[in-house]
Amino acid sequence: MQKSAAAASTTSAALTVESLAPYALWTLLAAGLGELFLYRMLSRVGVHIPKEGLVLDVYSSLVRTGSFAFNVSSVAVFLALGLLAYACARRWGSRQPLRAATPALIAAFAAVSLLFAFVDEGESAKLAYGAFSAGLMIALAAIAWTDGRSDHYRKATVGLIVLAYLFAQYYTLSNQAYRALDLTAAPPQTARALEMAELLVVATALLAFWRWSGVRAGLNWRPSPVQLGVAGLLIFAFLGAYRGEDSSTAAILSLWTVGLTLYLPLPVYALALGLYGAALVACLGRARRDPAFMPDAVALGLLPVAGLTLDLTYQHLVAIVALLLLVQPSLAPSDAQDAVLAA
Amino acid sequence: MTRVSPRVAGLALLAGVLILAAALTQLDLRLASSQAVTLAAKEADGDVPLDDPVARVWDSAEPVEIPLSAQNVATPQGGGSIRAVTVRALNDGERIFFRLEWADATQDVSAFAAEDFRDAAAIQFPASGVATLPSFCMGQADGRVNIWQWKADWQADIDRGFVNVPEAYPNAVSDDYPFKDEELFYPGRAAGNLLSQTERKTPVENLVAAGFGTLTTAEEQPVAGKGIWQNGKWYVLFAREMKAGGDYTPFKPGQTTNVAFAVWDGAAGERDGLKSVSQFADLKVEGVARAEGKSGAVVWVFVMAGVVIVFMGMAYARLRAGQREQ
Repeated sequence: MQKSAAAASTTSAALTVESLAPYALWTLLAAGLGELFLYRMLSRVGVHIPKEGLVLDVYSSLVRTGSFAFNVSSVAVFLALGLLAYACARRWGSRQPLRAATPALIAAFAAVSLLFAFVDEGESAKLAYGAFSAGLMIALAAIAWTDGRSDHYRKATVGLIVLAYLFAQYYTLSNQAYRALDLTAAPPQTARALEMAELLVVATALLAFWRWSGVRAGLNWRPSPVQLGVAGLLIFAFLGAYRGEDSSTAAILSLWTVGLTLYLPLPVYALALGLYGAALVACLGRARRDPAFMPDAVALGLLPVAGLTLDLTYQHLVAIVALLLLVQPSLAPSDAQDAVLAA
Repeated sequence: MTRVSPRVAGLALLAGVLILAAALTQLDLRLASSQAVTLAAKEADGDVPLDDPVARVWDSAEPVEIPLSAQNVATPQGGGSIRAVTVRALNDGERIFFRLEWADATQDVSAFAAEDFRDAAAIQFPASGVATLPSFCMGQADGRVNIWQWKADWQADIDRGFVNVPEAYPNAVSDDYPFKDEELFYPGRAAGNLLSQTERKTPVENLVAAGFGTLTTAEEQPVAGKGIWQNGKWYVLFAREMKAGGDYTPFKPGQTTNVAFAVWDGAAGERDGLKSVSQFADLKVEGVARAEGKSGAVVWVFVMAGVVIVFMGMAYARLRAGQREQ
């Protein structure tokens, strides 16, 4: 760990993609979480908060801040994707066709996403875009799985995330495909596919806890007070919001903001949320001490921002950034890679 | 390698992002577009009969399966026995039509006895003049919603006649009421309460709401409908003029708005808040000609292919360069 930190400081004097990426990624994470909490969540939950006078002023200010954070995040995601695609192009080299082509495809995907922000695309364009996104995710999963240096839990996590997105996208893409083909039947099993996607999200949270929380140390593992606090707070907030007299909070947040219907038993979600929070806190703590852990921390933080049902081009981009960071985590100098992989 | 400090360059990048975001905020622009599934209300190929929800004209409508979940928002939370509803929409330039279809093993058409609960289905739209998407949970104070609810017992009242106490309980004994034929003996009916009526024109109630506990029967009841149960499935048709006054959601060709759905299974004890609900989905009302035919798909495939080819060409150049280095 000291080695990687030292390596990071040595190269900090040179202007490289790796030295710029943290600025874009931390900005994206901060703005993404800001828009998630202050814009998407607060503006939706806020309809049930009695508001007048000072409360109304504070509420309005927070929502406006969240709206601005959305714009910051939607700009930063392009920057982050560009830097990551460039870094991947350099690191993956040009010997293997999949690794050589994927950064170019990511850049093309970002370009198409930007184009869509300014044109009124039809259903067939949405279908092509969604298929492009799904193809990229499959390519990233393939790269992760064929990477001999990557650990099994990381590969499994990437696999679960991509599988969850593919199941969720099946609902959207199959409907769009049927429409583009003028088929007047409903695609089969679309609702079941969404349920499967939700199940995979819960499984991903549990696996992320196993991989990143430090629990693999076994009996030597002691959760930090911050981990315990965050996990407890998340579970308490979720269950409290759900079981309280006005239980709209949890339902709206899960259903509308992240895309979960909560069809599984409630404690499963509460446990998954708490454990994921603990993993994220552990990752952020490590990233604070050692920049080599930054990609994992940012990736885990960005996944809830992207949500499950990728209803916006912005969410597609955030999901791709998160996956890229998990697939190619070594933004730290190459000397530090061994330390990262050994962690 | 340049001499610019990474810190300075990073902060400059950050400043650029903030300036761009501020410009977007000022111009009210978003660097994002919706990729969600859209329910299209196509122009109907022929007449849409109001008394036949399974008429052939519906074969030309594109269905969307909308996932449903238990209502977890307001007390009493629950329901969720119906996991999905298949929705089709059409318009004939004057009226808009929706057909909901879902599997239900039992036909529950009575809510007369205390232990009876009817099957039902509802459609919700943002009300007229609502600029931002309301909460899907019955709207909010500054975001009213218009709701159409079809009720199986109202449908049965129309199809088979109103069921009263003697029909529901043929062996019951009651005292004789001297004024039972007078209108004022039934204050609900006399006051025009829709729930108390014995003769119905429509099985669909038109309602407005602005948050929990504010659901109100609308002053006008312009929504027609018809529900039939066939082979373990409900097929329910809703129809209304596209133009509408008051808070009722207006529709016009080319318009995109939002729509959410709810279904109740009476056999599972579902009523009121115990139901299966969806989020808001996009609804597009299409004109005489479809907004986009297959040619649109071809154009977009070419655009994307062009972008991909450019970037892939760059990747190929790198690949060749790498091979030459070896």
